[in-house]
Amino acid sequence: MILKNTSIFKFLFMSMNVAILFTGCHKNQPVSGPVTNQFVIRDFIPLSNWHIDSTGTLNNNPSINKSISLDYTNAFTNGFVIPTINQVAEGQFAFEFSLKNTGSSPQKFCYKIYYQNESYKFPETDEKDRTRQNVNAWENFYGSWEDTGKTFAETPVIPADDEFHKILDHFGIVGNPRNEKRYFSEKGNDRWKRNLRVGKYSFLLVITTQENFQQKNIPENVVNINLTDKNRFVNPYFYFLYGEGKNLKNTVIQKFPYYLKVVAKPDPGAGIYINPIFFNTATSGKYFCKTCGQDSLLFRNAPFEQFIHYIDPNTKMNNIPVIADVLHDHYSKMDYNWNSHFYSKEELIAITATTTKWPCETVAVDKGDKTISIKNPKTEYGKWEKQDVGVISRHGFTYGKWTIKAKLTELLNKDNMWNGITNAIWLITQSPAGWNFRRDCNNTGYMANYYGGQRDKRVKNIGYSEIDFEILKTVPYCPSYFLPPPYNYGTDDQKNMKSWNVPLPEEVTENDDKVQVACTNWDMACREPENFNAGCNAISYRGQTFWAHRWDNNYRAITEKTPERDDELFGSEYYYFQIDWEPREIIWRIGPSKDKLRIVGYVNYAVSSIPDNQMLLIVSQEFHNTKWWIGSPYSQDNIPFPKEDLTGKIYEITIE
Amino acid sequence: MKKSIVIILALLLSAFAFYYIGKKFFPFNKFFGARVIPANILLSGAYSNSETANSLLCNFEIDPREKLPPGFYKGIAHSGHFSAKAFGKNSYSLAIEQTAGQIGIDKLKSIAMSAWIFIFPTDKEPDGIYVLSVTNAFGISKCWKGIYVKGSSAPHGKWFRISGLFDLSEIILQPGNKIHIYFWNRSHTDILVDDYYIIFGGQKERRGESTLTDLTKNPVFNPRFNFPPFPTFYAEKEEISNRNSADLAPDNSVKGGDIFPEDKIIAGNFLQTRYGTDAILVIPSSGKPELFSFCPASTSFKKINVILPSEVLSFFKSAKALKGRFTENTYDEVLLEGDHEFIVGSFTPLTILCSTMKAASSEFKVIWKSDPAFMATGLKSKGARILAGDLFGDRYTELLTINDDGSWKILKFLSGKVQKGGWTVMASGRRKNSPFVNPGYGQIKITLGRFLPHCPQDLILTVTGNQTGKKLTSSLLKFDFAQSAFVPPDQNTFDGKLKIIGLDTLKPSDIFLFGDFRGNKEPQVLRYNRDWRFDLKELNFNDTTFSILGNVDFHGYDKDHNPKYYGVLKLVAGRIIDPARTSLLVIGRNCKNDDFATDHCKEYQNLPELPDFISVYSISNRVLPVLKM
Repeated sequence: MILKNTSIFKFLFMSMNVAILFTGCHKNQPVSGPVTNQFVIRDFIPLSNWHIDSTGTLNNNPSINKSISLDYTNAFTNGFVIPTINQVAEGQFAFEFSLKNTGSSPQKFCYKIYYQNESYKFPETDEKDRTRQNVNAWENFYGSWEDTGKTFAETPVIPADDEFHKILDHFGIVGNPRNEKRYFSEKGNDRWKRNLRVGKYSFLLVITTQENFQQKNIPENVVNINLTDKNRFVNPYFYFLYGEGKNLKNTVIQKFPYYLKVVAKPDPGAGIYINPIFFNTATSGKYFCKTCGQDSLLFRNAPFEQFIHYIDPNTKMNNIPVIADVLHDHYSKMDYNWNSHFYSKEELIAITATTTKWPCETVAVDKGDKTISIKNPKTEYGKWEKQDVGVISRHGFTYGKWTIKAKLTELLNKDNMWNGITNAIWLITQSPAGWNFRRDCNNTGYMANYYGGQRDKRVKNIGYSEIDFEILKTVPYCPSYFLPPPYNYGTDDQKNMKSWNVPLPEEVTENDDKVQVACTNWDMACREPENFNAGCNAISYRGQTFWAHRWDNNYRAITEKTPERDDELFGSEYYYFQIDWEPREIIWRIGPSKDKLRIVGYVNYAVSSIPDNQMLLIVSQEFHNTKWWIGSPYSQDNIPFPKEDLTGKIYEITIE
Repeated sequence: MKKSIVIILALLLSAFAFYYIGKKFFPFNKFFGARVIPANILLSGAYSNSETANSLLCNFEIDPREKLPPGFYKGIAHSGHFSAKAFGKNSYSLAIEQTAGQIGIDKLKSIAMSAWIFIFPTDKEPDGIYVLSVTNAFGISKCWKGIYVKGSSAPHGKWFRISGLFDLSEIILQPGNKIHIYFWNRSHTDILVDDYYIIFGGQKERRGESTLTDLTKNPVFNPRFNFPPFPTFYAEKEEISNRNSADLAPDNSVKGGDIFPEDKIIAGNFLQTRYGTDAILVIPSSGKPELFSFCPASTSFKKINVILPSEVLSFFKSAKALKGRFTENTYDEVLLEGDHEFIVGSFTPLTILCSTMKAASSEFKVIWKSDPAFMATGLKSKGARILAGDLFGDRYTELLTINDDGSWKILKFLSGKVQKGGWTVMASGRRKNSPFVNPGYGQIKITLGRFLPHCPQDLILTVTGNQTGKKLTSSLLKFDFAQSAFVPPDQNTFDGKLKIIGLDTLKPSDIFLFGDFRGNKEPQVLRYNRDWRFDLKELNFNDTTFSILGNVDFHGYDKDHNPKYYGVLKLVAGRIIDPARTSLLVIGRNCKNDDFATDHCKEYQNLPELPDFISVYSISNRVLPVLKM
């Protein structure tokens, strides 16, 4: 579409130019473009039919930062689309620009719009040689028209009439924007396998002459982003802004100075789907309801599933036969110590943690206040159980600032005795399949399997990734010269209370009311990071020093721990937990409100391989075998079975 | 030329081999060069086993008036005034030296150790090791492990603790092997160490053979008759307004409610109060009895002055006291066994005890006293046991006397209409065929009580073991008047020996408590044992065996003062709070030393963690699980 501009518009344009001249880059003004010998561009507005500003308010000013929330309708099967027909009638963003043919004769021009996620990208240029593309910049989430075969679009013939003509077109942001075969299945293009990223998007308009396009002065793999060069994609932002493209004659490259912020807010009140892999309605559906179950509506639209933990049979433990409400029954350290000594083996109960037999019994949705509650169920004599519970999101993302507002169960009682629960907020790979492989590990490779042990083979690619908040009662591992604390377990002499009720070491009791916030990145022991190391290693970030710990060079994860008061994290009405997963670093934050978050963990690409595949969010309350947590003051098998439900509530999840 | 090259190569090889073999078998780089702590100059308690038997402390404290011995440092210490120094490269602190035999090889499966470290401020990076070494008789290293303190992260100018745990389970230790623990400074820094704390043995394995219930194999629990795990029933603490103290009646006008576990304590309907509850008769070692009775309105105990005839005090002082309805009275009486005489007496009733603020008194009145003629009948030989119970099922109490040789007599008090009445031998038996002889010449425990709910009379439970306390057998017998003998409750099907099913045998050390603990007008039995731990179980006897219904634990106690944690815990059953339900009077104390019997010791200590107390607990109503045999 081409619209002839009015003279009034011309006047305005002139005025605006003046304004830009005198005010610099005034944000509220449309950008007027550069000039070539052949044409002049102005008024590039990439989202002319979307008027929600970055605060979520309607604002018709085109030259502002904008925002949009992801529409979850049918996104599970189709992947996310921005915008959807629920958001914009056309189901696409409109973009426009005005072009004046300054040549001598009427002619068509060629243009293409690109977008790129700016929040979670690698710099386009190599750090040492800015003329070269950053080795990882091809991973950036950029795209253009959904049909990658649509290379450059042509304008209608623009007369050389010394007037601006408005060009209108449309585009959308979709998953797998390069239409990579990696994400295809027999069903077609599974765009959800490379969902669009959250965060800020920039928009790049490239306009050139027909001649440039026809003479292929722009490389094929820039024109068609589906094409690769030596199996690597060329990032058009690099090509046009830093590479050879920036010097193309008769070409205007215009980056819109404002961004679109994309936010995902899965609605906890929208239902929980039960995956038929684990259960079916006929045999396990007695707790199914409208908001939790397996019906087609939930299949299409529920943002969460009930998470069924994998239970490693090697985590078997012999638990004391005690059922108690540790949080409220005055269960003390003395109770713990007595129970640790004065039950015989014959009285113990061999268990592993369990998962529910009845989906929807321990997870529930409150449509009213739009929350999800999860509970480790209470047990009774003969039905001893330490049952893990959790929910997992169903829409994968790569990177993002994942913020969870939740009130998970308290972990310590008034005597600061632990109830055995680990509250976990974690990201896990959406799939170990090839389409979701991590970036190559070119050094010795990744350890091939999560459960593979020390002698596991190493491979170049794997799909496993995990980033954790695990919050439990344990001890820091660093510095290594105080691990483990000098525990005196005492003896089972009932006549002398001091023989069996030995106090914990003071370095443990001085953090008595605290739990450890363990922040872990499962890098699968990829040794490519230049400072990859085992043991305790300090890493500084914004004035804070964190101790990163890895047991040995084959250990698959790196962990940092920060002690925090249990009452603050889980005794208040709610608390915020944030995993800020960026391409080159991961930052763990917590806080009482979103604007009062503090950093409790930090790793970067120099010490640990940062995952780049698609992950899901899990919020769970788990009974860990404390053998996983060396040096813990309490042993899971000496902690009672729960007498009351241990309930957690998820209020809000934002990925941005 | 070639030959000389070969020789040089051979020499070089030999040198390397010598170095490595020598290092392996005589690790000179780990040579023990430290000076052993001169324990004789340390102050008392400065180098000692800590409160638990499996640990060792050394705080380097010495007499400040003495000249400072080598290796000590004065003025900077983590505790006290002295520490040990390791100044300069390759210096050693004072070392702990113990032989494996001194510690006990069974305690050396692992060693946890900690120390406090002070690094003097310096630009140099510290590099030190807190060393555990084990050497044989020739000084050759069998084990050398350490906690490394190095690098810039170690604090300077302040004390910090280091710790570690070392597994020694794969090292074959001999009693003469020496264990050294010291700090080795490998840097040019000056380092102090203090407060060595060594824990031997690690976590002790639990008692028993193996876990019986494996829900990982079969998630459905199928309880096996009399095999653990058993359900737990809770005895709830009753409000008695004594502020969790050791005084049963702290606010009483008559002072002195402290009751000790070794006191003779009997609950019985001695006072015939209008509430129908049992009073608690306490006979301390002084012999001056005390009576307490619960007042429901004030939820507190009232202490009653006991007025004793002067000639009776000696009986209370030396006596064994038995409760029963010996005469035709409908309330409980007391039989007191003196050195040479017996008396039976009762207390004067106090029906309106609680409604008055006045101090209450009750007089002990002697109903019957033995005379020399009675004693001459040979009622009881020296050392014979006397038990009281309703052997005939007539709701009166008879006496069973059992002599050391197993011969026995049953006496019943017959009230004379003309004369004052007295004890009459109703039955007797000789050693031969006596159920009270232990064929194993070991212990025999005889308990008289209401073991069978359907049987109106009290039965005899004998538990015998051999001299080593093993081969335990138990028998349940009733007295058959027609045969004038003790026979199995059901003679047609049972020889009297209880079948032991499960792991829990009855033991001579068991104490049985009888009563209607559930308040359902059914007699119940609790078995209390402290051989290893507090173990209170509810049992259900039948003619041939007993079933374990469950464990009894306590609930509602103050803080974490669970009665079962006390070293000494006395339980007395009685209808103390509620006439329709039997409760437990519970007295908890801790002993200063470990050498004490189950229910008393020479010297108590009131621990802040477990303060002395006296309380009343009642088992809560609950539904019993059905256990199949």
